[in-house]
Amino acid sequence: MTAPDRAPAVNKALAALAAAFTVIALALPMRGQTFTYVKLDGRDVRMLIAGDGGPTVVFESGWGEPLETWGKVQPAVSRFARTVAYDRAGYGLSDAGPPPRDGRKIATELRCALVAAGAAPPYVLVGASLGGPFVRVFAGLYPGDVASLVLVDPTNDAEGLERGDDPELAALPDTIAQARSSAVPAGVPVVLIDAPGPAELPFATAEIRESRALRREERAAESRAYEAWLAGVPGGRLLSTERSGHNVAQEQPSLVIDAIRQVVAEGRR
Amino acid sequence: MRGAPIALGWAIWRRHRGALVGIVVLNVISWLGHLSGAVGPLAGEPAMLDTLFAAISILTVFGALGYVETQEDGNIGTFPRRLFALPVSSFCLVAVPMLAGIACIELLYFAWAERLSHGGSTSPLFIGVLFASSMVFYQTALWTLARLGALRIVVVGVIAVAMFGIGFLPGMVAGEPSFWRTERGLAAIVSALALAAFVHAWRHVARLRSAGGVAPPPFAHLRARLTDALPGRRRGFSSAAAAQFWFEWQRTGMVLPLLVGGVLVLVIGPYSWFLRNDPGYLLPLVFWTLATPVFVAAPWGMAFGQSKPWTEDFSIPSFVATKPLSAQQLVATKIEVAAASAALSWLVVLGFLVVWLLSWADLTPLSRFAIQLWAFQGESVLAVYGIAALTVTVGVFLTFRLLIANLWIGMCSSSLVLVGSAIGLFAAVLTALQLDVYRLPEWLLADPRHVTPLAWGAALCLAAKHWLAARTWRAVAPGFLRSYLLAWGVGTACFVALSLVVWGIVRIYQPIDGRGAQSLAILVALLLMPLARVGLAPSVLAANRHRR
Repeated sequence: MTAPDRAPAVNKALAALAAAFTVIALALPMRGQTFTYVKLDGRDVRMLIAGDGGPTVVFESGWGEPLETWGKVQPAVSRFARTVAYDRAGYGLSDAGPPPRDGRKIATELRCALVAAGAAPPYVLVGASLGGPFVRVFAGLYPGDVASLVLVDPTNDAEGLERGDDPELAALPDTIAQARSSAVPAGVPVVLIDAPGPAELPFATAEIRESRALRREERAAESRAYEAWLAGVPGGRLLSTERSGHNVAQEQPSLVIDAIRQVVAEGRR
Repeated sequence: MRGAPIALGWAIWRRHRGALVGIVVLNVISWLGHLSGAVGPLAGEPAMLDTLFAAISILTVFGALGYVETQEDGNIGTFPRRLFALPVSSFCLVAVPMLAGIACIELLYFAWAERLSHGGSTSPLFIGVLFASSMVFYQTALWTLARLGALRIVVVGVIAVAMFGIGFLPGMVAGEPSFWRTERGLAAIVSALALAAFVHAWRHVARLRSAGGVAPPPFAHLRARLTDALPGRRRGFSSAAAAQFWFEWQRTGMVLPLLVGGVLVLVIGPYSWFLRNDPGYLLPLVFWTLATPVFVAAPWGMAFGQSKPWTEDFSIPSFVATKPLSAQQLVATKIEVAAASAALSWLVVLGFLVVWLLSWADLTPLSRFAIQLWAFQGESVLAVYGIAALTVTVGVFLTFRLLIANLWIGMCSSSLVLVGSAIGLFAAVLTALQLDVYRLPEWLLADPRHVTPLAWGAALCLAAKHWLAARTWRAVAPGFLRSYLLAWGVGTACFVALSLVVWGIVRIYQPIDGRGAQSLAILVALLLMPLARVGLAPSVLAANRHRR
């Protein structure tokens, strides 16, 4: 008499798969990010600091955006320089700050936060949209700390701006006035990325094409204003791209990364 | 008893008193919860516990007061024929259960209304009319469409969704609406239809009672000639498995596509037409169109796993049990039917979308969305089409997953396991509500460090799931395992790919531990396709195949 066949304790192929998935399961939760929180007058400011090597690249986001907006740019830049992205007061996970939220206040707070985080100058300041005027004000206030400026489709001095309810928008006219009066420090290279967007869009309905045609002249005026401002900045360079709209850091991150790489290399020379 | 109607009412109460007392108990628990402060104040937002209890109570009332009786063959039957011998009129036989149903659902609604409605624009009276009419339509469908068998669930589902949609119509009209789109107008239409349904049910029962049998459907002669003319199956089946596939498809496979088609044509279709000039509704309606198969498959999947859906007899029918097919082949056939059902449902969705979007939709909002996606994907048109195709594929797999997840419970053919799983699900939902799980996203976003414990929880589940799968699949033939693993692998890869694409876009706007959250998204995606449970199905079927 022979003993009846008994099923094995486990299916070997699936046991191998289970072992592989156990390794994956153990590895994945370890991939976290560590944020730095610094205190400014008792308020928390969230920062993400990564990379090594000077000058320190500091990212200033557009209106209302958290530091994650630099998610496609910061990891690449961190491979060749120390980088700092942060949430301005009241946005992302940073506590709200006292009014007025104009360029001068924000630049002062940024410098304090950088010092508190141990990020020493010189800084390459990268400002997108409303972050553009903020970094210009910073450069005017602390000329000795700035190695170069990269302005990513910045809010234009000539834009018809209206006050909004948000603290930063309420102070926007003041911020623009402060940016206008802030001269770019001598010898500081400036790269300005102008992103008017593609001439032709796929998937566009007639309504969208019409509205874009109406905005084309407005956008051209903005580009002319950039050129006029850069003409007064020694060493200013204009990079114009039609491969991206206003969100260059998401739509064409390689352009921003290359611009930063260039100014960092120049700074090191 | 003083009269036949009271005797009938008493019989209904005696038969369903357990369910009705249960509903009262839920109501009392909710009140006690409010009085003790455990559930929250009455004036605040509706508590999740109240919503859950009210939903259970409403479903119980509809389930109990459908007023049908199970026949000897195990199928949920039709109007109780034993009552035909009673010395009462057919009008009374039909009117009493309908009035009992209406009274119960109205009492239930008005008992819960205060706790569930806070300042909504829809009047309680209008909702009351909709509930009463729903009960009439529901009972009429069950009694008069007995020949459809389990497929009556399709009709009932469509009625439910249609009534739900009608409830929202008055609030969606901008400006001065016509009388027929106000609450009064709609209530008049629905009440008139309910009256017609009552008359139809009355005539139907009277005909059955006078041995007239079931009336031939309208145009029966024409339909028979048409059916004969259409190409039908004349040949024998190539194998027992092919015959079983055909049988399963007829019994359960076609339900989901029919239900999805019904919802799209009767609910989304009219909405898309009435709201065609309001571009703000396009994207939400497209979303609900794409979500329809998933939302319909979730409840239907619980019945799909059973050998005979919607019966009170959970044993495997001898007709199936004695087939020359192994338990694995029977399970494999069920899985193939689920796959075909999910695929066909999505074909229905895509067909509806093509007709709607190309015929009467204002595509501007969809166009803006596509342009934004195109810009974020490095201006690649191919990437946009790829994401669209991936979304649909994930939808197919999600629908498929919902159909097969409860297969092992159905194959147990045990009312104990089924009730146990239902109680387990109920307990899990209650625990989740008690722990305020709906606030999880808020909690997750409050502090980046909150991602880590969730990721570890998901990681433990992932490891446990796969080791359990290695155990449950140990006695299953390699051929079946290979076939299912292929489907599982493709489905899992699609879930992971879409989670990465979506996370790549969402992360820009969310202050969160980016890498940790990405890991969590991957782990959750890896958990979605069932593996261990499917491996369990053949063995439980083999053990219970001939048990009654």
